[in-house]
Amino acid sequence: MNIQSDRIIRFALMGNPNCGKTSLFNRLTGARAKVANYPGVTVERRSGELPGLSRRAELVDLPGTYSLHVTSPDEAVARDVILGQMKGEPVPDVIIAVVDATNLRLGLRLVMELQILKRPMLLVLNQIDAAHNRGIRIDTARLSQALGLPVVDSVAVHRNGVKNLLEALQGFAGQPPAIQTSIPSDSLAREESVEALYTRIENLLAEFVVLPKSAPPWQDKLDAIVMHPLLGWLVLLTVLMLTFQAVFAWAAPLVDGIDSCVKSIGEFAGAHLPDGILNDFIVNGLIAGTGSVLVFLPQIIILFFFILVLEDTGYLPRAAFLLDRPMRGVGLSGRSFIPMLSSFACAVPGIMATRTIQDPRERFITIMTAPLMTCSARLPVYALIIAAFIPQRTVAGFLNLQGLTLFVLYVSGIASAALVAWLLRRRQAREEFPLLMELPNYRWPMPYHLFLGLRERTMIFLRRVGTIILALSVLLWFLASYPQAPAGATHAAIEYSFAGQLGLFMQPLFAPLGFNWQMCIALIPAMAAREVAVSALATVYAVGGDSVETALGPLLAQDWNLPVALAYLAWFVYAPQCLSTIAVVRRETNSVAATAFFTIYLFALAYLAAWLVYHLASLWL
Amino acid sequence: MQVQIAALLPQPRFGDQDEQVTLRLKELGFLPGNLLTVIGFGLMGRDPMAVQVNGTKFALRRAEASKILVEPVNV
Repeated sequence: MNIQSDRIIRFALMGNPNCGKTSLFNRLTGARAKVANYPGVTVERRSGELPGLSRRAELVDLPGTYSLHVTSPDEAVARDVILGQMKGEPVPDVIIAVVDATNLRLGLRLVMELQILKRPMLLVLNQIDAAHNRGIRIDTARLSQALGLPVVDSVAVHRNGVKNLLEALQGFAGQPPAIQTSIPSDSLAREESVEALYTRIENLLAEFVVLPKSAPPWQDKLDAIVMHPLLGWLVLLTVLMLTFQAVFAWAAPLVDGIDSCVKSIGEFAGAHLPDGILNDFIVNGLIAGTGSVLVFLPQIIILFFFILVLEDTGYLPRAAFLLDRPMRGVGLSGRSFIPMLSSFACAVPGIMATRTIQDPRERFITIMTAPLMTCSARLPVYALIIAAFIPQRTVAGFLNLQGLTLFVLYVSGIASAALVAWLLRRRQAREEFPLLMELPNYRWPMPYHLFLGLRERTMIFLRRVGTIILALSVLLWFLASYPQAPAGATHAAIEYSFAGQLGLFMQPLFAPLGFNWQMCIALIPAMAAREVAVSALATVYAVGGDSVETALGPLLAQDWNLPVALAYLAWFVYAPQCLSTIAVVRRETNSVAATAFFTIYLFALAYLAAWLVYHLASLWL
Repeated sequence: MQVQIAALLPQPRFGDQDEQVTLRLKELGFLPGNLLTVIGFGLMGRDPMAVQVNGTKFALRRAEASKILVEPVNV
């Protein structure tokens, strides 16, 4: 046996977006998928071991592409990998060209373009069952002969649907793979016009395929409702309300459950470990820190469940289509809507959801502005300060002044996001590239595919973001607990800690905003999560136990004046007061510069807004 | 509403990319002679529009839609 025959064989899945490539990938690799990023771009590299062949095999799921004449970074990655021009990425030995059997023309066009490359290739007619149901009949054997390619059919949604495909792959794996060299991209010059290519396709279809006149009527009927000027709104609002409600409300009991679990584990550990630094570190640093990672999971899982279902059924692109106009005013597109909406619950899953945005610039802008949506962690801070400073009064006949204030805070966030998005779009003035988005056929979602998708998102969060959040929470715990208060201390323990000293040290910087040192100290532990500001304020004002809600408010009302309170609210509208968000921005942009820009611009905006509010309010109120 | 594609026109708004947009439209099946059906519009106004061509549905914004010259279907 020589070395050559031991070599791993690499298969690459290539095909149009929506051709069912990823479900095929999931079916073939099962639970063995690995997700990473291609170097230098935020395009996902999805690969996995392909079991069941006589040789070790790797399968790569390339981003969906319509053509080798690329128009997006996703498509460029697919092309570069196929040509062998992607740095650090070996040339695939065999291309598995996937074509949606219900959409042959578009798929075959790409296949014929790929044939120019003269690489070993295999054509898969996916979703052959759906094609059969529509009355489409394909003479696979003769099509294969005419194209000069092996052609197999597959049904990615069924366990046994990839049997033929696996047999064909074994045909490639059975012999040692030839060495593939890279191909220069100028060899892609068109030998044949698009028109001529389509003529060839029409001839093939006429000869080997029975095509019924039209798609099943229920597809078109559904579209007539979804894109109806009135019913379309209703469907969209229902879907969005349901998604938002789920992320916001359904996650809450799960988050509380995780919270109390972590607390009881902490109490248990605290009671059984000897007192001292180790006890403190494990209970308040490690266990509490892990808890601060886990509390994000319910929202992430629920949001991605909805996104995956909407994507798989084909509704997500339609929602993006319907919302395109309103979002375009600020330079975004309909694709940004769901990340923005989810950010009202929490920016962390919202930013993770920007992966459905193809245009990298738009994705960047959405990531930069999504945290301006008022997330649920801001509510406890808003509630405390509003209740303490804004009188319960009715204005303009029917508006509650407290409710109105809360509303203004929400609107400020949205309006600022719109303004920032608009400015960022203008900075990069360029021709808009067309939307040109396919509205795929409606389909039933596939539970197995959903499950793998959810698991993948969860693992990415836990591994990539969770570790950073955990490390930062432990650091923050350390800063807020050490050094400990000396014996016989008269002040709150936090004042003696590094965090407290830092707060005191920062106070002159915040003096122009009217912030006192207690407010500055509270900002530091609030970096773990905004709502921690409330308990931190309670600590520095020495309000203990269960009386926080009732006792802290009146105390603040005595100690601060109204302009200061309003400035503090303004600060919380903008400040990236949450390390988890910064960590997820770092992960999703894959760039230190972008993360630094994000952090600095939001802090600057927060400072400016708080300063303005403080001074204007001091003048007028 | 069904019409027939007559030609693909240049659209200066796409600048240097215009040729690429034309090519992409053709690759997706927006070829002269093909039938095109308008199936819907986005919320608020008539932009973007959803069309079906060659059996596939696409969303088009005004700018790219304006590149597609159509005529009544030949009887």
